Amino acid sequence: MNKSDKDCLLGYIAHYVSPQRAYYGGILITDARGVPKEFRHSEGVRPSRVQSTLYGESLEESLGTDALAPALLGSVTIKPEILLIDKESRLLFGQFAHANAPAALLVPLADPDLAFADMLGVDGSLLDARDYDLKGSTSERVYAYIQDRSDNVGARILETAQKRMNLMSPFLRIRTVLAEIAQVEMGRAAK
Amino acid sequence: MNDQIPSTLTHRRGIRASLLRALPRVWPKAPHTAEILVPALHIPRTSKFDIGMSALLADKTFQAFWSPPTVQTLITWEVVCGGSLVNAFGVRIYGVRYRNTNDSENDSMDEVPAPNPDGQLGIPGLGGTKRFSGSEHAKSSPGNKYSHLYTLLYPPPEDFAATHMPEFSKLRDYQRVGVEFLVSREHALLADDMGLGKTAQCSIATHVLLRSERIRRALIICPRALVRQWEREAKHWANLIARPVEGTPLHRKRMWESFPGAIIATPQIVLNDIDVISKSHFDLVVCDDVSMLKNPGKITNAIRRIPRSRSWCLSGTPLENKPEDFANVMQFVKPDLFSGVERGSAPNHVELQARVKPFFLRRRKIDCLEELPPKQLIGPDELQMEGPQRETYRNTEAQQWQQLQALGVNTTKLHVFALMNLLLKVCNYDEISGRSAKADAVRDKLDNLFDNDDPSIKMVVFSHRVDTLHFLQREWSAYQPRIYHGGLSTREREELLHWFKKGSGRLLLISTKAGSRGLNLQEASYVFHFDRTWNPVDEMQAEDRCWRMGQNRKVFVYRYLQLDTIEERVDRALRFKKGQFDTYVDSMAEDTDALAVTKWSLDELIALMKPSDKK
Repeated sequence: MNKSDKDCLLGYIAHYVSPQRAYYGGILITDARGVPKEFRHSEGVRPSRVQSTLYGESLEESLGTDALAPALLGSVTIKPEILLIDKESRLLFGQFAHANAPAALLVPLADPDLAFADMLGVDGSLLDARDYDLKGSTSERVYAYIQDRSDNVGARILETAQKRMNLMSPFLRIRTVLAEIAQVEMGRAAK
Repeated sequence: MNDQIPSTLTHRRGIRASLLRALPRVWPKAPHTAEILVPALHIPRTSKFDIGMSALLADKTFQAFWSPPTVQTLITWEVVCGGSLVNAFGVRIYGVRYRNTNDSENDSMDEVPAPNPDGQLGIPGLGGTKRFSGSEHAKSSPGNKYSHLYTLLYPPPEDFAATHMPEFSKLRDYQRVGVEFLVSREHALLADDMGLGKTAQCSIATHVLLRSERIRRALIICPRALVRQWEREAKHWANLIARPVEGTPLHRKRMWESFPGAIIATPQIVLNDIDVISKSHFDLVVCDDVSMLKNPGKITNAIRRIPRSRSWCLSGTPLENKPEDFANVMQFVKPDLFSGVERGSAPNHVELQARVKPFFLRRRKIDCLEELPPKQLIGPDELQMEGPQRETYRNTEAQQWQQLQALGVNTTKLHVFALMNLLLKVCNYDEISGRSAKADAVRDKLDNLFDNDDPSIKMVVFSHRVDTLHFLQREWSAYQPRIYHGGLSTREREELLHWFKKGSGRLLLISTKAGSRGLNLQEASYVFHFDRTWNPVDEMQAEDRCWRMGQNRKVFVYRYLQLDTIEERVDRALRFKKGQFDTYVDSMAEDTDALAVTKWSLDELIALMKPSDKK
């Protein structure tokens, strides 16, 4: 039985770093029209000096892969059928997303930093790269580098969703909310 | 070669190198008491090694992961010093599960239970905490300090518009702002000038909320004359099907109880069915035209009683007579914004402004519609009654004044108004002689307009007296005018408007009370106010039926008054009051600095009645 558009569930994961270097992660589950179904986010995680020293340049990757992403995905009560990340969060969530196929990295076609390396999966294999419509934009399209399952369910969900929603806009909305949350926390801390 | 190392291994190698470099600096005094626990998938048990052995361990680990290098070789590790974990990140999770308005099973999900109540992440080796505090999107749960931000996650209106509302792209920038304003507020008063498209903005905002499942049931309350127009505009602008509530009581009961989507009802229907309505619930109630809300009465109370989550009001003239009207309107929009005492005697303008501001949006035509042709106010043309009409007026005036004096201290405003109406009627036309100076003056204008070869020039004449309209219909029968008044059925009104807007009709006589609000008559560019209304807002509303978005001709507005009569005295008083009103209304966009009390006192009314010395 075919699912309706509304039944497809997309899981957007993104992060925001506040000026105080606190890391906020968020996961937004939407249907194929972009209507939110569930949202989970972390409070700001501010690595200590010891942690920054211990992790060095791998700090963000470890924080995202080992702490934020599992906590976020583990907390949602509605499980997404595909995980989506964008380039800004690739360092934090890339490994986690690819380990949880189907998943895709979405990159606007006009992105000048579009690199061949983006097309590589964590095991070095070439990912399935497809381009989709970007609703609300007359010319732009979006590339998806998909770590899919053998039944190509990830590609099919994106195919459906591209007709009903702007595939990139949830990332912006998540970051907007995370930035607001950071503001709230900062205001609270100031008191 | 290094470039081809998969990122997982590069990452892990980075950790190892960083770790080895860092540990002696982090714990220079206790290198041998620190432990590194490596519960890796490739190592079947958790092993402990001292710092001195960590380099060796790391090399072995690295080699173990190197072949085969797959993503499943992720390791997690801990650094414990003196019994405390120092490398793990504490992660506290908050969030929301949105109420799907089509999915009743979610309605009770106010709090999302933590699947792991001990507060630990389900990943071995990480000591982060995981705590939940859930709330529904519109409800502020005491446990979640961020719940007010979650509405920002809904897609913006244009996301829905691209697929569902083709007309959205035709909205002007200020209208898009208006849609955003409504969508993002539970309590809103959209007070744009008449003709700026409040119905379009509201239709689109309503449909966006329905589409995004933020609301399931919406009720639009508007005067009977506007029901079909609302139905049409909602369909046109927002592709929104809004069903009028009508039919038998049983049929209406079913609609009130269970009809999903948007429905339209008149204030009278709401009053009749309030017992049924009050047992139901609406996610959104829109009041188009605030006149039904400004005076506490049965209809106002019925509308306020409707159980609802969101309350919006649309009005180009939110204040008609006095600041208390405004406080009463806000009692629907945002209950308890003003106390009962304040609704009887409004607070000062600074206080009022501060309280209303978050819920209020007003834009002026002059700022938004630069391309709108101007509106030219002409007159009032001062006329002099002659002959029999003058004689009838003087006789009536003398009789009424005597009656008023006879009443003495028992005089009430109702008495004065009743007597005054008789005089105003004679100012319009003399029933005995059939003479009317005003009708003659307007006819001169009409003759010129009808002589013009352009049949697209259309005219409307407003009078607040239906008997006057019938008189004019007889007088001007050569032009085949028709009358729009409150006694027409919905179907008759529709047919009449179609005749005027799309058909051969060129002259429409309109009862000010029935037709001054909500109608769109951009087809007409000549407006005649045959008589003056008591409320200056009515006149502004009436002429703006024609002077609105979509009008591509200059609009001419003519006014008339009979010299040396009560009309002249009323006009003088109205000019003063309207001046105050303009200051107030225009300032509403930025300021409420000029609250005008435009109530008529008994003394003022009696002064208006006093006969002129001129005979």
